[in-house]
Amino acid sequence: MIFLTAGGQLPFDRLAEVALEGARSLPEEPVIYQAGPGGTAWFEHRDVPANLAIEEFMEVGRHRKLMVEARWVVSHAGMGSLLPLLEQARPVLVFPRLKRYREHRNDHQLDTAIAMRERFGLTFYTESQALISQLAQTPSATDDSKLELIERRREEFGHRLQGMLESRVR
Amino acid sequence: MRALLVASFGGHLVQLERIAAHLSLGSTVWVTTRPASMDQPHHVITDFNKTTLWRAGRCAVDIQRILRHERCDAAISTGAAPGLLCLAVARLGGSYTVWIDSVANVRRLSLSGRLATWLCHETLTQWPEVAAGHRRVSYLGSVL
Repeated sequence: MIFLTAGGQLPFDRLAEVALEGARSLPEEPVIYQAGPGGTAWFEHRDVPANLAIEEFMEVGRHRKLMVEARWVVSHAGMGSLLPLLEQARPVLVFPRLKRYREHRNDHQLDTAIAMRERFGLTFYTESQALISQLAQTPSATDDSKLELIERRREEFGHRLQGMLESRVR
Repeated sequence: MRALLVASFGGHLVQLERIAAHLSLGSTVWVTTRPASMDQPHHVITDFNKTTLWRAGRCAVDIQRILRHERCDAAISTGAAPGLLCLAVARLGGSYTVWIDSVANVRRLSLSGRLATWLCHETLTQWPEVAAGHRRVSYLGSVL
């Protein structure tokens, strides 16, 4: 199964196209696309193959479950998806919303994608064709070597923040 | 210590949950913008952003309704706009307020974060490079 997620804020037409073309090129594989508010409109006049399911919004539990179960997860560069994906060391292909296609107000999703590549080695795509062909490939073995690093950073952050709070709150 | 923890549904809330897991806060009051967003009990307030500023009034009323009954020593938010409004109101009620800018703001502080430098006691970024550019912003660490 392939799971694509556009987050809970906005539709994302180029990711919709990846979902549609990905489902067409892999007719045996179930594809689930979480499209965001208004995100189903793009599919209205298109032939949606039987293996593609589209939902605008998902409850948190189901979203998490699909991210864990999917063979590939394709995600916009939003932290609601990337944080749990990193914590579970899931195979993820990041597809940032870009300002030049008016998918966001600015390019912070591209900045996030670049930072996540530098820090965690996540792969990101800015064009849909390369991403669609990657879906046919098998993900390499999951790499959980960074999980300890994340946990240690959080402990340090929590420790310093706790110290700050205790010194300022009587 | 009783702490108000407020974050919009999605990535903001996921970050605050991770941070709170590494704090010992005594008791917590969670506030977010959509029902059934998390396992813990939580209040829900009206969402708004800079393009839907007209909903901020309703959000302020929601916040008042919660804070009338909850006295908090500290108030912490990871964003977005409703979190900032919540911290501003909590500060008026005597809370020590901490804004933690989202880890998604890799290169520059969010607009809410820039406002937080004036409205909150502390403004934190999760990227050292961002803190280097602001006198009133500190880096204490990151969820990633």
